[in-house]
Amino acid sequence: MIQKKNGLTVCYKVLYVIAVLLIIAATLLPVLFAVGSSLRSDAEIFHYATPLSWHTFIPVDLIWDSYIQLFGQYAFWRPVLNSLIVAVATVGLGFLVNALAGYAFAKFDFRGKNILFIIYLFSFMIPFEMVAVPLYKTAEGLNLIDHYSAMVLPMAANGMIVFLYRQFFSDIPDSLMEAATIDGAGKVRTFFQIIVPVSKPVIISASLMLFIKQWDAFLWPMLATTKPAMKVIQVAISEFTLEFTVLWNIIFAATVVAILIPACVLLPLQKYYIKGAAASGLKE
Amino acid sequence: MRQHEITISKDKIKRELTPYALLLLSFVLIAVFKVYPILYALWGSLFTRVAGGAMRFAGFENFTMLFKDPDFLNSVWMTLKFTVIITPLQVVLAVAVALLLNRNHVLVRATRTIVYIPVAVNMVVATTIWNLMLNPSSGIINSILAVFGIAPQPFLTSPNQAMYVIMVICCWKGVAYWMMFLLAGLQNINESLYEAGRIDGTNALSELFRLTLPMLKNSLVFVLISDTMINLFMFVPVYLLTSGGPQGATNVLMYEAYRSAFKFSNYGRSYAIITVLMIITCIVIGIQFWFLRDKDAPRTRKKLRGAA
Repeated sequence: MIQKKNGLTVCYKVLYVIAVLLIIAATLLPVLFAVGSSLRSDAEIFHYATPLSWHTFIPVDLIWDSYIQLFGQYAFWRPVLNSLIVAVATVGLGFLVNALAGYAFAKFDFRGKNILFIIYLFSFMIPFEMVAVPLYKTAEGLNLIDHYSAMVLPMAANGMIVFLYRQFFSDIPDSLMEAATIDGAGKVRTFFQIIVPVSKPVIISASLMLFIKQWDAFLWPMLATTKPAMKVIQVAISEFTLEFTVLWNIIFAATVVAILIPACVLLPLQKYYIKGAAASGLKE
Repeated sequence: MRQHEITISKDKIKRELTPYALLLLSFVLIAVFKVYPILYALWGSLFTRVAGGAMRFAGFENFTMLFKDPDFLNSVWMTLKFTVIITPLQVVLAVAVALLLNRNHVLVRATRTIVYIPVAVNMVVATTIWNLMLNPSSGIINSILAVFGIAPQPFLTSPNQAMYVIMVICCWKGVAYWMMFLLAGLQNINESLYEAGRIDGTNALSELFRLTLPMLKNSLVFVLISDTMINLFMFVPVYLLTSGGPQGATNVLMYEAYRSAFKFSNYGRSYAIITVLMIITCIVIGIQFWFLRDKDAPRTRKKLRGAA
């Protein structure tokens, strides 16, 4: 009996390891393939694709040419710079706008509070694709097309992030704020001097979520920019895909850059991102 | 004395206005960039373009035209087909991966970090890489299939396969993304509930359906509904890879709306499609809420109290 049970456990463990290895393989295959292919020369790129061998994944000669061309000839630094400007501006403005709203919902009683909160929650249910087409006319009317603000402003205010801040601020004891009020600080000063310093975890979570949202957006940044000098990474890569059908190593190099930037931000801070995701996923 | 009273009431007004001042910026942004475009689309769907570019009020003309248009009806069908297949697939896979990786072993934690990588990969990037891997003549996927003795497949160039290939691409990113929410939910379940179950002698399967999934319900509902929305509005792979083809096999509504507006400048038709898509979204989400409503809430709670 015990023998049989042990046999089952070993069998179960082997199946478990196989399942986990398959998950890892499926996750990493595209990423590693992109990295490998980006380091190939033009001549090599299609050569080892078939039949399958080690050289299908690992280049014979490691060559950085595609990266040099990408940033030189194809001026990829420009979309990288644009993406960073848009991301930093979205995160900065997003902090100010959403944290203040979260503060209002957490620490104040006012008329219309419930209705407003429902509007905010509803707004975060709306997928951005849904508003992108009609938003084009709005942005055109406001003269925002081909400005960074066209990409930043619609992304900055986010009901989910407001919700996240509200949850966190609600748990801050009122006594902490009262002490500041007695000292004569106004509500806004209390916010910056008392609330913000104790809220670093939620600020990091919220900023990461906003950053990833902005990084994931495509339809709107594409519609909002017509000048090549204004395009963000996603849009630049989409144009590579549509136009340079044979320059595989250049395309792969661009995708590797586009993976590395968010990965460098997200992986070290993943615990904050997951905390944010957890808080929004657990809402009623 | 009077002076004093005025300052007090001024203070009071200031205090009452403070929350509105704090909300002002976010409210303006949400109103201008989220609510207004939706109203604009609803209203704009009632107009049609006449010669010279002017807009004319047309009532429901755009809609009656749409429902006579085989391209549009095909798009409705493709959108529903895509959503109905991929949403349960993504959620089930995400739950499965989350359950597998919900242990506190150091290697499992390392695996989790690897599995989160697609979360950082933009959909355009994921689509681009998969597209090159799925290239019928020089792609790596056909080389891998050849190892198992499977003939090369046409993938995106075949009307029978294109939609399923797009589902695979969407799953690669989607499963990782939703898994993260579910794993966070799993880790919030109190370990003592499991211990109580084990003393009662429950097996793994009944533990999953009686304890884990009911406790995960909030996260599951959130994931299911958000995922449904995203899938109904799927756009990137179709735009980049198939342009709705081959033979309309991947022509989802969001792409049709984009094409109407930005390829044919027919904004009235585009807004009408967006309106239909909003209505479909409301119906689908409504159906999901109907099925997920808390019909047996008191019973579950009693059961849990018994277990704890």
